[in-house]
Amino acid sequence: MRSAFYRRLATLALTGLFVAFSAGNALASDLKLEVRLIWGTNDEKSPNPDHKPVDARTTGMLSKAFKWKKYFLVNSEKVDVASRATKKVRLSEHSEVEIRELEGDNIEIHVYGKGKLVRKIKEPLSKDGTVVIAGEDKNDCAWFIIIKNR
Amino acid sequence: MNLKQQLEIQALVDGELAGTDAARVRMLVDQDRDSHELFEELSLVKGALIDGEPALAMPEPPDFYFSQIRRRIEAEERTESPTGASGSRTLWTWLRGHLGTVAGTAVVVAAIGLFAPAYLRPYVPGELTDSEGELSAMTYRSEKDSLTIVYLFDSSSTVEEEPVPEPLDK
Repeated sequence: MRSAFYRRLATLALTGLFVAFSAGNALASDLKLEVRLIWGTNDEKSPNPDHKPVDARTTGMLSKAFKWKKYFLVNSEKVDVASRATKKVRLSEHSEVEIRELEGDNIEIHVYGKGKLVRKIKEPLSKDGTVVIAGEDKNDCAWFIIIKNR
Repeated sequence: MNLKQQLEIQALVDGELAGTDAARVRMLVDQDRDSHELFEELSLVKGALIDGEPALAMPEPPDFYFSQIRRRIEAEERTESPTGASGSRTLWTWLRGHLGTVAGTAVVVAAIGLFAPAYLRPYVPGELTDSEGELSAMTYRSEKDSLTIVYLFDSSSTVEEEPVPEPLDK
């Protein structure tokens, strides 16, 4: 009877381990991201008429931290990154980002400008979190790469 | 019948006589009525004493008591697993006794590692690498907004206005 109890307990424990690791693998994989390239300016209109103003929430988030008043969406890409995999995304003619899924909530981002690696960034990205990479550009403008889970 | 004869009859009843002595006293018992009656009485008393005598057992020392329990357990284990080497049986016995605890602990640890909130996990600080050495970076984090901002700028150029003048958690 005592042996049967331990056998049941061991079976339950092993099942729990299997479920936990399966869930862990499921959580670790399938990083579904949205990557946006945004242009910031103090002008009323973007120099490119194809650029549309970003949503009010994004504008609020960026203008809370930066000096620019207007923000225009240059490009938006949906990216799926598997566990421990790397995905490269072209955002414009001259800019690309490479995203690697790391252990836990962390991602590694490589920023490329005109084909050259400009910066490597390793940051945690929680389920509801957002990572913004920004830089100044000519004519008192700025670019923003916004990475978040979708 | 004198005292000596009475003692000899008692010795016969107790089986203490042998050979000619036993034959002689047995003949006396057969021929003499008083001797026969005494023999009968002593035989009855002896039978009554044997039947009524309490069966006394030797008290068992405590170590003998526990060694009996151990022997019974070992006998049951041998019955449950008649095959296999004694080494593997000992290991299995140990595992059977601790498997539940070890497996349960493993499940709890795995669950904490997988499902614990981010603040319970070891903090991995942001890591920046400037591959060309031309850009500087400032990193701001807002826990409230789950927001991280990495601002890249050319430290060699003159910037008229600071790009991020205010803290984010304001």
